Amino acid sequence: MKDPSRIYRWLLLVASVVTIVYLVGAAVRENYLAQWRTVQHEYRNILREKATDDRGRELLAKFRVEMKQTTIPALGTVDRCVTCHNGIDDPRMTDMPQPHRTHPGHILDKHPVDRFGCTVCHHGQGAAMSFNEAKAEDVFWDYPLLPPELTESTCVTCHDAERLPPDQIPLLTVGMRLYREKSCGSCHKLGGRGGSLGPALDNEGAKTKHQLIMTNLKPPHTTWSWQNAHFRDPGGVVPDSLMRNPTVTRQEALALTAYMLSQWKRDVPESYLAPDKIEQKYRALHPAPLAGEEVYRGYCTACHGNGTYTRWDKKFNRFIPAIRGVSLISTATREYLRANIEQGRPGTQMPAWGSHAGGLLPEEITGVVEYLRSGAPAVPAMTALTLHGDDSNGLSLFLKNCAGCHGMNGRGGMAPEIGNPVFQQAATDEFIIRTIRNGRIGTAMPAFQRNDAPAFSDQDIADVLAYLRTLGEPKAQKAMAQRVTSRTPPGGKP
Amino acid sequence: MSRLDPPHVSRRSFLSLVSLGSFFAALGTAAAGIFRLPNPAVLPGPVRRFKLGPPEQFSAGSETAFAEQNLVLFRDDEGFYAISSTCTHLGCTVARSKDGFACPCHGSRFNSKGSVVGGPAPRPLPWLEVSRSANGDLVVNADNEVPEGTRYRV
Repeated sequence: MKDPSRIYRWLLLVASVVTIVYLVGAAVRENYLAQWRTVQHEYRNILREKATDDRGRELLAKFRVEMKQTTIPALGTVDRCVTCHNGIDDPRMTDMPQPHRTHPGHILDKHPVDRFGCTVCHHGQGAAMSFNEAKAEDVFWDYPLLPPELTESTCVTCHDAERLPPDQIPLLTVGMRLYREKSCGSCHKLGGRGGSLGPALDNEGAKTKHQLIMTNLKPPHTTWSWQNAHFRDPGGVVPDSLMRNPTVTRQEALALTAYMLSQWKRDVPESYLAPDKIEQKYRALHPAPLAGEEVYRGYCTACHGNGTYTRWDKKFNRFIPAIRGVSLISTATREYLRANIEQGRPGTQMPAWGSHAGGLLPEEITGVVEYLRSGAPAVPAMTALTLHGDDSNGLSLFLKNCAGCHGMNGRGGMAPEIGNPVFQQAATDEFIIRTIRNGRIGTAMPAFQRNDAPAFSDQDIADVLAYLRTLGEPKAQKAMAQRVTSRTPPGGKP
Repeated sequence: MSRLDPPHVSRRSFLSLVSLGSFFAALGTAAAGIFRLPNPAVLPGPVRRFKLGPPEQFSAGSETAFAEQNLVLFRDDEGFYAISSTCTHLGCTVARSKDGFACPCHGSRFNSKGSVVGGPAPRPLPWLEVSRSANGDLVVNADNEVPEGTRYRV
């Protein structure tokens, strides 16, 4: 008969042997077969080959196969990249394959590894001990290793991009120019200046992949692949996006991506900031006013184009007026233009641009108004209209002739809202009368009193004006305000 | 049966011995792994290897104080040496005095080679290892002390 405890002895033997094999295997893997050890042995062989003089022999003698790291408490980084990138500051290694190669350029001369580390510029997981984990693209790491061409975007952490030599930051230079040229500021705020249709971009570079919609993108899902695809086709990445396609080339999209990644209000100790960065921060508090034309190009052209034509916008579902068109400019006063820019047009996509909202300085708005009026012809004085208007007759004329476009009660439709509070406050009687008389060239607004075939008599115009002014009365304004607040958000179905 | 014959071990007790032995061997290996854990592979402190710049920057006979790194770098005819400027008493930063170093906190005094000449300091100021990095810059490793009088020749 067999001993019943025999089976347990066998079990104990097998379990113990399996445990020993596993533990010894783990120890060998960690202490002898780790990727970084292989790399360092390779590097030692390279050092041996290159040890032809005293210096070379000294470096070889000092080389130890060990984990190497740069800890920088001021930046909160622990970077072990130098464990594998051993030749990073050795000028003899320029022709070696990665990871042994010398750091390109002269960047390390001014940014020594022991003061700056690696991840402050390159991102990635500094404490990782293998390249895939250091790259950290598919693991839960907020800022994976930047592709080499986009690494320049982190220079802006401590430098003013405007003052860096353009050949050092080729993409950022193009990106900054495109941001102005494409008039991104018409919809996006940067440093408190810009429109409000799109999100502010001040901390765009700090976004992680979890803050961006990646469903329409192929992996790898990184913030830069999102930005890049988004610049090529905003609606394809974010389905409900109001953003117009900026129509950029592949290289330009990459440049804008680099510029977006550089927008990061990152907290680094003052001792790391370059003097120009400190000046830039000061300048941002006391901005120098831009000339009118520059303001127009930076903050208006995305919607208004060059301002001389009216455009139907599918996404806004309305006409965008020709604000430099002769017939508007010859009719509108400076005060009217100024009020519309400063306070915007509530209920439309035109945001307020005063210093409390869009961040434009008063002198900049003056500059824009002058720029808008720069092509205006001299306006002949208008014969004063002294007739007293009858608003009930005005209402019937309005319903017959105007409501089709301007909407019932001046609510607007294809044409501007007459009941709009900013319009009611800023438009003078003369402005309204001139517009009715002469129409608005380039739009659907006809002239109602051309000399050859007057549709309205002076009395009719006075009646309509009287009716229009009732829309500015408190009761009508209250109804308008309710309508504005309950309106579907921009981009929704009207 | 003579005494030289090996003691008889039955197959059954051999199995017991081997299984028990391997069990304790596994336990031992695991314990070795566990006791290694508290020793970090890399210390989490800041880097204490300071790059001080190219050697040509320092003329013979010069001494340069590095306040941030808490050390003084000397160059004489024999070569470079670096002396820590952290007092060995309670860690204040010593100041250069006429004939050496003086600690402002408790009055320890050291001569220009770092040896204690007065005050409560228990040990002389340590001499730190000087070397050169691959790109030729002088490097002082503040974690490595070297015997007094060690020079680094360029």
